[in-house]
Amino acid sequence: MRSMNKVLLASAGAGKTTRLVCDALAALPKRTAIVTFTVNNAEAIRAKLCELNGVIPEGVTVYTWYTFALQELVRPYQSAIFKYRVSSVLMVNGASARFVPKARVKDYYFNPQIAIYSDKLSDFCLACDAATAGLVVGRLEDQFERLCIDEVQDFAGYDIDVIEWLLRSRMEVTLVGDVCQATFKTNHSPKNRGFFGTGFLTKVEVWSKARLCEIEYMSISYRCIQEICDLADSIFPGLRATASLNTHRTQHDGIFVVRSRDLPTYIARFEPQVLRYDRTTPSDHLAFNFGEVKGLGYERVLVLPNGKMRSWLLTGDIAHIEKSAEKAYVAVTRARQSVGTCQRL
Amino acid sequence: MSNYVIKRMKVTNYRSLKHGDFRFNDEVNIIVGDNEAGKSTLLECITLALSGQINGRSALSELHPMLFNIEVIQDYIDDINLGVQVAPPSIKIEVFFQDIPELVALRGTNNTEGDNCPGVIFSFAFDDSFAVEYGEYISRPAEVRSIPIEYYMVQWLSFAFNSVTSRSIPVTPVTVDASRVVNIFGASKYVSDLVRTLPVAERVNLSLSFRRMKDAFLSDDTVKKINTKLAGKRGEISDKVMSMSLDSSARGGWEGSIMPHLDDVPVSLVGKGEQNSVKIKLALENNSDAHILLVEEPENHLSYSRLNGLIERITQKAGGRQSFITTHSSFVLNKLGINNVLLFNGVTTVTLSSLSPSTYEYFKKLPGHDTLRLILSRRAILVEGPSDELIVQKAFKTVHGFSPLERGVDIISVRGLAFLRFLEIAAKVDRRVDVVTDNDGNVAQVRAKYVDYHGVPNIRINVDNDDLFCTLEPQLLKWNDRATLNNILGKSFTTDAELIEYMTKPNNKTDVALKLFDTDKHFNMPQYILDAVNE
Repeated sequence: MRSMNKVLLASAGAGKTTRLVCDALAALPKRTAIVTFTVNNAEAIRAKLCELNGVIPEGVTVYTWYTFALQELVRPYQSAIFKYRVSSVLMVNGASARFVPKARVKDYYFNPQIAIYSDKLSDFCLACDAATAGLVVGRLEDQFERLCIDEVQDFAGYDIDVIEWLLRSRMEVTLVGDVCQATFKTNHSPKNRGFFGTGFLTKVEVWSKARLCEIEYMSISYRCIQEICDLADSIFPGLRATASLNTHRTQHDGIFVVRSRDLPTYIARFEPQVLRYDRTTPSDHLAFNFGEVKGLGYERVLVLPNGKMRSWLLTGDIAHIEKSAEKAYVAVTRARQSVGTCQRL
Repeated sequence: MSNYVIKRMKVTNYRSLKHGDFRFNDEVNIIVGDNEAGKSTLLECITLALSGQINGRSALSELHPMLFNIEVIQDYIDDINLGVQVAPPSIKIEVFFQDIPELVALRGTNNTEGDNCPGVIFSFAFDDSFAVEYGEYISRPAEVRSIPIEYYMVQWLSFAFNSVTSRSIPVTPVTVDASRVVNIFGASKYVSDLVRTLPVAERVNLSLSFRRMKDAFLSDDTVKKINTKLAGKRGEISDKVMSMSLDSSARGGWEGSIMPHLDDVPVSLVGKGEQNSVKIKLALENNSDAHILLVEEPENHLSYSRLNGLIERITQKAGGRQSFITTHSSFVLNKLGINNVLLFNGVTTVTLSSLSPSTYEYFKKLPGHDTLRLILSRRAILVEGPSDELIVQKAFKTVHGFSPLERGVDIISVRGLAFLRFLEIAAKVDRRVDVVTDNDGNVAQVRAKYVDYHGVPNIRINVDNDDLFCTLEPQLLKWNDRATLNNILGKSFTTDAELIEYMTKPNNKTDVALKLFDTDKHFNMPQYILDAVNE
């Protein structure tokens, strides 16, 4: 039997927000929960729902991951493990309460204000479900017939186990993600580190083999012209090639290398959005960091490279950007018509 | 429409309900209990937990120390004054709903029973962020006279432990309490509610007519003259031109100027009874989309015939919705079905469900019957007629020195077969019920009749075993000599037969009983009557 679950692997600009919103609306009156990672993305999804439907329909609920986990997974059956109400989620970088054994439930999972450590959220959910013989997932199944998780490439650590657990539920689960865009990690714990980012694809293939999901590629881009798609694809050579559906042409389309001294003239003439790796790269112009522009699109961008990116752009050798491949991918795929970068020449 | 059902409610420290655990019927709940038991408080709790409101206002603005149970306040103050470390008390209301898909968002196990079902918990609890201020407050115990509600917060959660609002709880209650609407706000709200029941087209027409009337008012000669004169006074009162007109601001809209009339009498001036029944019907009409109906003492100010109509309306409008009705009226009780009665004592509720269909129908068809007396009394003695009633009363007073009513004992006169009907109810009520019956010359037959209640701890059948003394009057003669009775009755019968014949004549029976009741002279009570009145 084919699985009801789907993993949508989308290229940048493939219109995945539109797709998941349309799917949710088409499935009405089935109740759908749409879970995404950032507050901004949740807002973008709500806006898209309003744009296509006038209002957010009663059958669709949009959550951020932490809100969803706290309200629907942690709290309802938390009393099986811990009786005081979990107040919120506390974001932690790295591992929390590292030297506390799991048996000391309160200190292991929570800070003194009973906020649950973000890296142990999924662990707690699974523990609740196990302790109640499946009441957590049962409640979720009664609440929603469909579950859609966006930005799935950003999940890591125990969160991956939660996703697998959800795939095994009676709900029709759709995972939407762009494997090339893993700039955030929901979870910084060491577990499942190998599946983070493009390694996530490996996990998806395992699930697919176990008939937990079907994989569907959205290897198209409504946003970027073919030249930009090709450049982006070259960062992840193992993945399928992206076909551009942007046939719009201007006087200045493609990839351009600008001499540093020509930069002011170039910016004045083409008005690109300046993007930089992070704030350690100085800029005389208003610039956004790569991590801030996910999901956004610009007519033209100018990428201020850091040392490693510069080497990559000069040599074409992706080994230079091995550790920042996702960020480089995000940066170049923001542009519809042209990507500029500068070189000291 | 979904049928939302409250299965159970637990209340801690709210007003008269210190620790309450109440279970409810799925449809009609007739709440019956003593005056001070807290029936209204029970309905108040339902409203508070589902809407966050007390008396139509938000709970936080209505929070005052007297919402706490009086004993709890006193215990707290005593402990503080004695230097005992105690946590400030909190109020908690838990509502357990029937588990239906529409309420899944409220489902979880975060309730004091650990039940996996949908529900909400409303609480007034100490806000820990005021710990420092509170420490200061209790550092001078002598000044602690009340619960420091300034440091309290409202916490309103689902059983899933998520915060809820009245909008996230899909279950809406509506309270119908005719007696409460007394102030001007209430009255005008009542009027505007009435107006809102009119169809839109009719409302528009009313509004148009009202505006036309306004125009007519302004073009009236007298008004014109006055306004011309006022215009001439410009500068004396204000630099602007002053004129008289009708208020056209939102506040002075036509709704505010219209008063419904019943038979040409403004509704605010018609009899209280009619007003109440109109208000109740209106509330039923206006809130036809509410899920839970709370009705307070519908019998207030109403005659039986009016009440009859009203009850029919309530039943019809309630449809399948769960409803809670408090009452003191046995009429209401019988009409709505004695099966639905919840006996309420402030701590728990007892149902009368599973009465046999014939008993159920019996009481339903005999409105005004004294079922409620049985249910409301502390203990009841069932007798066969007015003569027995008088003698049992007298016996009670002789034995205890108090009249039965003073002791919460109700002596109820019941006809023949109805005894068994009453006992069927009594068996479900945990209170003592005595039957005082004639043996009618065949004790065995009487015993057989009551065989089902033999050995039921709270029910006793009192009957004399001697078949020769078949009714009350021969029994009186059995336990007293002829001279004693002659003396009390002012007679001088020379044979027992003549005396019995006199006493048992239908015309004399009550008279004889009254004489025995009123007399100061001593006479012996038959043993089976003494057995019945003994505690």
